[in-house]
Amino acid sequence: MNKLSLATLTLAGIGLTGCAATPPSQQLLSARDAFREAEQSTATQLEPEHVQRAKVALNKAEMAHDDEPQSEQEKHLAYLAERKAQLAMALAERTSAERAKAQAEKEYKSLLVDQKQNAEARANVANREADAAERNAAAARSDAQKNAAELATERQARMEAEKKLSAARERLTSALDKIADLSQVETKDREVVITLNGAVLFEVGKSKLMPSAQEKLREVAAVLKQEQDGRSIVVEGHTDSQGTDQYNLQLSKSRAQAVVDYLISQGVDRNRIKAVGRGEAEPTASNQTPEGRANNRRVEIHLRDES
Amino acid sequence: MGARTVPQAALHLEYAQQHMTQAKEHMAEEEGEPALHALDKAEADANLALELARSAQAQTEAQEALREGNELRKNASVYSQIGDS
Repeated sequence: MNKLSLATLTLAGIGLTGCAATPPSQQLLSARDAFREAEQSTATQLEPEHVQRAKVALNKAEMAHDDEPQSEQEKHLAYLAERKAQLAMALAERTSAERAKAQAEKEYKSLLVDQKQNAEARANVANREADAAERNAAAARSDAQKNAAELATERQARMEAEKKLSAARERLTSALDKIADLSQVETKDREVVITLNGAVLFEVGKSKLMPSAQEKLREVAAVLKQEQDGRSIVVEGHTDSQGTDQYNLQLSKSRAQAVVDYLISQGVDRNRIKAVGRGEAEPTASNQTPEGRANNRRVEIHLRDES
Repeated sequence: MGARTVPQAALHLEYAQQHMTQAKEHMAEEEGEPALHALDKAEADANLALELARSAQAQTEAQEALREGNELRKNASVYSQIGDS
């Protein structure tokens, strides 16, 4: 029994040694390589169930090898195990590709939304700018029309004023003809100056108007009443250089005031007329001759256009 | 499924067909077990061919989606530059 058992064990040992020494089939080697590759790939995370199936299949092939090395069963099971490992990797690659595709599509949609929002934002800005430009253009058009209207009005007013001025000058010229012997009339820009000879108005050294002067001044007053609208009237008294400055200044002021008072009494608007004394300060001729001094003794009535 | 247009899938499809032929031959000879083994292999290769074809298709679609995304991104960049100028 012991001998038999020993012999049996020895035979079995020889048989085992023979099995271990027999190399695996090419199919089993390929299956091992394929499974190793599957284990190291993303299949373990993405397709763990299929990797497990490949493992089970490989174990069966290994057992078949252990039972009978190089047997048809070993080769057959190894073939199936290799295919299962390859299938697990193919499935993992598909899953990975589908996830990448889903992610790309998600990003694409997100990008589209962003672009749409950007486009809308740009369109809004463009619309606002267009609206502003339109408003500016409308304002500019309105301003231009207003300016044109204002210019037309101004031109019309100027024409009317020139017409009025022309008519006034004609009337003034006509009226002044009546007092030509009493006075001298000059027109300077917007001012008309009527110069009255002092000798005709006052006695020497006096500031009371002579009766004959009053008659002439009545004509002047009539003219001034016609032309006083829009004009101020300044009556300036002037003397020659005989006597002191102070005396002459006072005399010229008194004479100017006498003329103003008379003109007011004849209806000239008191709010538009005033008297100024210039004394001997503004001679128009030499004070060295009697003729010159006579010319310097004068009253000037200045009509100033204030419109 | 397009297995014939994917080289690796086409190869396994060919294997599957060969195994089918072998299975038929074994069946004709009334060799049951070899016939079943051939059928198992045919099924394994057919499954793998199908999955390789699907995987290739999925990879093509993923690349296309990525390409479209990049194209869109590139155009967005160009339009943005035009808009800013």
